[in-house]
Amino acid sequence: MSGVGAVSVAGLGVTALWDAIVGGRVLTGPVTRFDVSGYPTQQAGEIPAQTVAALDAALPHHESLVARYLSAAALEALGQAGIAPRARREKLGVFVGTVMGTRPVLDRAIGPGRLGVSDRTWADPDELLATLCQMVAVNGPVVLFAPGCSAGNAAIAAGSAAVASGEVDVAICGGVDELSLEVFAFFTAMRALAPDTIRPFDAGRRGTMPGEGAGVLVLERPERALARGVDPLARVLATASAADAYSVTQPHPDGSGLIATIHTCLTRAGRGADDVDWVCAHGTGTPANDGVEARAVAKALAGKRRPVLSSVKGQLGHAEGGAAALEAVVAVKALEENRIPGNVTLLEPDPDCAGVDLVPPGGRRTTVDVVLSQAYGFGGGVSTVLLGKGDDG
Amino acid sequence: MARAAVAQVGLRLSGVGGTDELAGWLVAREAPVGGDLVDPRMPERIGTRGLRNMAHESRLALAAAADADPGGPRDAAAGAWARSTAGLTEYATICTAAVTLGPGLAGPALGPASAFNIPAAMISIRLGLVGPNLTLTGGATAGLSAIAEAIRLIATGDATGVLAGGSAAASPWRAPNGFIAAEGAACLALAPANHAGIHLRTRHRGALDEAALGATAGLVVATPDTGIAEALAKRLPYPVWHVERTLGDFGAAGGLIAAVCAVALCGETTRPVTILALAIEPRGNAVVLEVSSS
Amino acid sequence: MPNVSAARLRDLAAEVFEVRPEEVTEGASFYEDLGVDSLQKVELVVRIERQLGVKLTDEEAAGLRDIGDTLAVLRGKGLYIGP
Repeated sequence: MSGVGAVSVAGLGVTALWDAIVGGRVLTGPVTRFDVSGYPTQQAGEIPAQTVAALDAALPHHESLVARYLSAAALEALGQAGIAPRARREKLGVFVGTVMGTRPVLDRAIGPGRLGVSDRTWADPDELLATLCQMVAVNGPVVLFAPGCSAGNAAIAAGSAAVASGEVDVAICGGVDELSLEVFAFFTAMRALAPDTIRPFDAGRRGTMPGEGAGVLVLERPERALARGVDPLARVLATASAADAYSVTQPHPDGSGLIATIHTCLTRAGRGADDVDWVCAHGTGTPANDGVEARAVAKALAGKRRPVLSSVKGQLGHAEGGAAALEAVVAVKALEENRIPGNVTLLEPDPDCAGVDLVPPGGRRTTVDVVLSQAYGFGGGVSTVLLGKGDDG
Repeated sequence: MARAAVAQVGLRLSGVGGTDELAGWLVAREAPVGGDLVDPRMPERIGTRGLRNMAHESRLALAAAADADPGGPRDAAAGAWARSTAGLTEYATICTAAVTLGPGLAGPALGPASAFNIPAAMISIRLGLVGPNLTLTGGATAGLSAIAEAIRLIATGDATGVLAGGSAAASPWRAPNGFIAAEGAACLALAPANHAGIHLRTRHRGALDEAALGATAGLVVATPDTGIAEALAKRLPYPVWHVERTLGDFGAAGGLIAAVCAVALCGETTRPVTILALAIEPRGNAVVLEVSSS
Repeated sequence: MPNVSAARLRDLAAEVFEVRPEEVTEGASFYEDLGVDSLQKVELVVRIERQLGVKLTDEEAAGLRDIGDTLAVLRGKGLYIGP
């Protein structure tokens, strides 16, 4: 992995994201993009208007925000990797995950009167990639995944397989979603929204909040990056996917799909449970999820110590298709800085989560060599990645 | 390059019963242009409960997948599904309900159904597939990339078998593009390459490389761009079929339908033959799949 | 205040849950006896809110175990519910 990029509720760039994470900032707050007056809870992880304005100053306009988020994060990641966006000496492919894609354009279109936008961007998921393909010369495969909230990790898995097989020299892998009124309305009806703060793994957790953003990782063979004088930031040690095959909205009570992917990742990478220094949790803050996840991780990573686990969703909200990719970016920074982000909003750990070592709000400074990052969502698809330091192996 | 074998096919297409009939229509060049409502004809073993409130596209996808499902071990069976229409109507319905009914009154049961992945999720849950569960979307290449990803999952040992399919449903929210908005579903059950039968291999993904279009007896192309399809038909020395003009527009599932047409054409003759499936999008992104019988 | 019958609420629940109306008895537990999932249950709550113009709190909604509970909560809100 030779470059990372992010557009998040913390603003433009990986530095803004990492500073907010280690600074313990909670970035969820009142929704301003659309009218939620009358809704019982009105909070989400919304990218501030000034960040969107900064994006628009730097990029060609596109009706869909996801197209803009994704291309900004990709340009940042390519810049760090030292790969020129337009000149193409290598075969470059794009692998992106999303949950809703361009559909949130319908949020603006449907109102009391006539349709509010002139084209049908919402019906063409491919439009999500339009700005990226305009800014970056892409000569390899362009693949868009929408497998639910595991989308970002599914894209990383497909991109790293394409690099490993030699199908591409460089893979731009990422995940993206924008705040959706439809998702907000649906979560309201589901009574799944946290009223004040998302508190993953807390005894008093009340729910989650939708968020938004894009995370991008540039993958290539380490020797390619080194030949350009670029030190690899991190390595993808293994990836694995599975399905719960259980329920559309609930994780399997035993976390069977998650456990299977963790075991596969460890086996493929030739690592043991105690080698994992941090588990970057899915941790949505819903009563249904967190207990199941903590028990499954404790079981899958049973070793000499309890697995060290935290979720950044208390700070960022749940960026859906962007979540796993943003979490992979945070994991890369944790490996680089030897610093584990804390469960910033944790007040009273849920006794049901006693099998894992919940990182206290302040985080920890310690050697971080291996990070496990997992994602799953509606429909039961699970995708997990195991990341190591840039000089690993 | 890795290969996989086609173990079985499941079809729910307008005016087409099975692959034999599909091949017959294609050879005679008079395939019925789709657009009619397609009856899911759900196999009995799926049961009935939960189907009434299931979206039509999910029912079509589930029925096609159940027909293609060869059974066998579930522990490493996977699904890879391509679609661009799934959930679109549901998304719009929730937006409308949020505006007209007010906060909290948009029906929650429609929520999960408003995402792209609900048909793949239903297939995994109903058929008990616990292997990787992928959904691909985008333009017509998504359908062939779903097959490319399925072949990869088998090659890397992530799955012992994959139900690779695609589906589309009519919706007033779809963007018209000059073709008949088709509905339907098709599914190829893929098995490791040592399995007898028709074999699939991804020849090329990326900007179209004409060299990848050689050594074949025919080409089935999925593209919303009639100009591209006509230019290929003129230039290439073998028969070319255009999915959108022959069977209608399936959106992201178009590439998958092209592959199914190529499989049907391969099954037509007893001698070994290679037919290519190509999906190409207006921005130039293309996938070429080689379909061969032995 | 709209009038509604218990029979109509049973029919509504049966439609959402995809079971026969006679299975939705006062004591039949949504989760254990009727095999309902949490999404179907919250769908029923929203349909009731829409049709009767009432609002259930999160606690009331979470506490519904069967149609008997549902009728009791609605009656507690002053709704007249016939047989």
